[in-house]
Amino acid sequence: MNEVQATVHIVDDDANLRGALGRLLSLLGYAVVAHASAEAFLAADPRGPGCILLDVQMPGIDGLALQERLASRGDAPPIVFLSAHGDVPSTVQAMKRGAEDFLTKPVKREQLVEAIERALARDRAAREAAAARAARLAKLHSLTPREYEVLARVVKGRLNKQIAAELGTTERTIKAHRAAIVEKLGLRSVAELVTFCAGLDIGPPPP
Amino acid sequence: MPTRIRAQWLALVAVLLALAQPAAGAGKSVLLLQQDDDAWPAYQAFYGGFQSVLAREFGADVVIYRENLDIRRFPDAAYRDALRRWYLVKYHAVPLDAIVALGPATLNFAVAARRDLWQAVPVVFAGGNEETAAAAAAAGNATGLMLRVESGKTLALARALFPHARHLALVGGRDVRDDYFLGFEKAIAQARQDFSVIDLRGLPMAEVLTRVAELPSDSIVHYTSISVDGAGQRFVPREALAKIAAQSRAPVFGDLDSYLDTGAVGGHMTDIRAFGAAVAMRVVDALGGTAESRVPRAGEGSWSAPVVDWRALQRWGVDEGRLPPGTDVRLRVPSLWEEHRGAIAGTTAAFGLLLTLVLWLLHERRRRIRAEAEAGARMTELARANRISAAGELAAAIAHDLGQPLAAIQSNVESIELLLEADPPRLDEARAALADVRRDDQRAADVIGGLRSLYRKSEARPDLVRVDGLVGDMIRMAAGIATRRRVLIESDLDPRPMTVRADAIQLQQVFVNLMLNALDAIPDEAVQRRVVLSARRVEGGIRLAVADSGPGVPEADRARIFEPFYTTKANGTGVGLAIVRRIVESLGARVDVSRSPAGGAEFSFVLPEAAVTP
Repeated sequence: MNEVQATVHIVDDDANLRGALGRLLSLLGYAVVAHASAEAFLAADPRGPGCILLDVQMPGIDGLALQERLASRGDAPPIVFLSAHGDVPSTVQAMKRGAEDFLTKPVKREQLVEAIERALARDRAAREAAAARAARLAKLHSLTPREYEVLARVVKGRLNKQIAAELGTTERTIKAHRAAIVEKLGLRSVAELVTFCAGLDIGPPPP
Repeated sequence: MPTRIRAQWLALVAVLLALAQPAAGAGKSVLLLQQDDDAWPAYQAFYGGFQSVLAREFGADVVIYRENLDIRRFPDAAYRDALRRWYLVKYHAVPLDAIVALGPATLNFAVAARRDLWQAVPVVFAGGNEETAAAAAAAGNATGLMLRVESGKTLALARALFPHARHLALVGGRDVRDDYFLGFEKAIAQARQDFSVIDLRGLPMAEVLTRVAELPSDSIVHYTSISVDGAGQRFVPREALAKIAAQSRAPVFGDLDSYLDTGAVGGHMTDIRAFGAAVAMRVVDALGGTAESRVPRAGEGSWSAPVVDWRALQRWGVDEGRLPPGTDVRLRVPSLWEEHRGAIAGTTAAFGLLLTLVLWLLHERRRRIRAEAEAGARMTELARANRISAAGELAAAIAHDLGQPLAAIQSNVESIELLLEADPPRLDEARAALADVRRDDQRAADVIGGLRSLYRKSEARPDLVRVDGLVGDMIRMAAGIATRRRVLIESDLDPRPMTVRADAIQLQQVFVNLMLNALDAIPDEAVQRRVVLSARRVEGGIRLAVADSGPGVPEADRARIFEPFYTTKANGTGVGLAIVRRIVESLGARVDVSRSPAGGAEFSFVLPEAAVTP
């Protein structure tokens, strides 16, 4: 909770429980937003850091359905499920889809706080990873198209000689390009290039 | 017998002399010069009509010489000269009475040949246009018939049959004027107002075939004649048409009735045979005529009429109602009905009888299935009552309804702890939280209260129940399940009506549970598959029992089977017999387990018989 305050979103159709959980979590120092239904949560569409405390059984879109929808979006916040009774199939399904935790009501404070803290930590880590990836992508955009072509081949493990032949130029030129790429991406060696590009979708070199 | 031999000799000589005599005055010789190969069907049709009229008019006295000039295939002038000289040699001894020039190009040849050999012989031309007629008039001693091919009327017919056609593809030889299709251009000019014209004339056959196969679907094709295609290859026009009609994506029309039975739809078709007959009448006239001419003379040119191929109409899905009145529908394939009326009628009647029988059986079957389904639904309803009054779903519902307020209470209590631990304690907020706790506590109490009232509702309402009727109902209700499991359910009833005082629904529930148990008790592999429901008068009342042919209940289990949640079935709930016992005991009776006569289990209880005032 350094830059932007992380928010705990409570999604539960039961007003009393919503109020009680909100009260407790606020006292514990969390920023809390309560939503009366999955539809209300989707309408508010919060994208900031945080996690969701989600009821399983709700009229309309239920907890599992909301989880599925968010998962299809790609940047789903971590979810801690709350269920009135430990229903094994729902639990298994929710956990398989990456739920942070599955708690049975009534839930003890320690359990609740522990689960929320884990969820927020996971959210933080995911956001940092995404930011780092975005930064790497931004650096990649600083390359010239030619340098990009060379990079794509280096990453695929092509030798300088092969790359020179493929691009119709000399090995010396390729070496110069590589040096420029390493410099622009703020790396120290060619070896770091591969690490840098890991997880980024570098287009395959034309055959 | 020399005299007899001599007589025979004389007779033979007389016959020979008679034969050697030149044709007597009535005998006629006609030379038919035709333009093209007489393998063409159109020429054969012409000759058929021509010859039949002459034979009719002159009988055996007419001799027709046929010559095929083939001057379109061999247009060389030297060939014509040689040909003419050849005929001079060939026919110098034949006293011709008439020369018929068939085909426009033949007239000139005939006129020229006449100058050398047959000066006084009349020429009758057949086919050609006004130009031909003028040439004939100029030559003198010549008459004939022009041949009008009614392309315009053919296109009108096509439009009537295919009113949505927008494209007209023209298929024909290199030079239309070389054919008989004079006046065709005029018809096309007219047609351009209604169609966008795709001109495929003069193309090589291979290309024509490709193009007609790719025509837009709203097209029609008009075929004049292809004797020579764009690549110089020769064709019999009718055969060329058959090839094209086979490939064409659009219906093909033509103007000659020799084009029928090629796949073409039809057209305002010229009957070449009738034309041949008409030309023959001109010959008859030129030879001085005969007393009775039976061919109609008025309105010459009436040898064309709208004709269609019935099979082609079927192929293109044309309703016969669209045909202009008077259209001659040919090549009709007799329907099955027309051909085998008797057999079809008989078979249909037999089928009808069978069908009625089948429908009746199906109806019976449906009635039975519906009855089974209804009984099954009632069974399910009762079974569901079981489950609800037992644990399963109810437990889940209670867990949810109580879980919510309890969870809220839990959180609020923890909040209150935090609020009170604060320095200074935040009492107002704690009080608010406490109020919420009280509210949620009430909510939980309401849930439990609701359950209680639910329970109360299910209390028994004793009534008079006819036991024999109840047993019958139960058997009907279980018929579906029994059939599926191949179990025979029987009843064993006292013949006199029996009545007990009980809640009918509860009593049904007892029987359903006992019957389901009995059915479950019979293993899949068992040969004996029987369940018996009995109601018999005994000392102290009426003994109701459900017996099965299963393995029976082991002595060791007998004490436990009535305990709630005790089950010996793989997916049993263990509540069925518990409910049975509770209900039976509420009626002041006791459930007994014993060995049934069939060797399986028998569950029985005795209820006091109720007095019925009639």
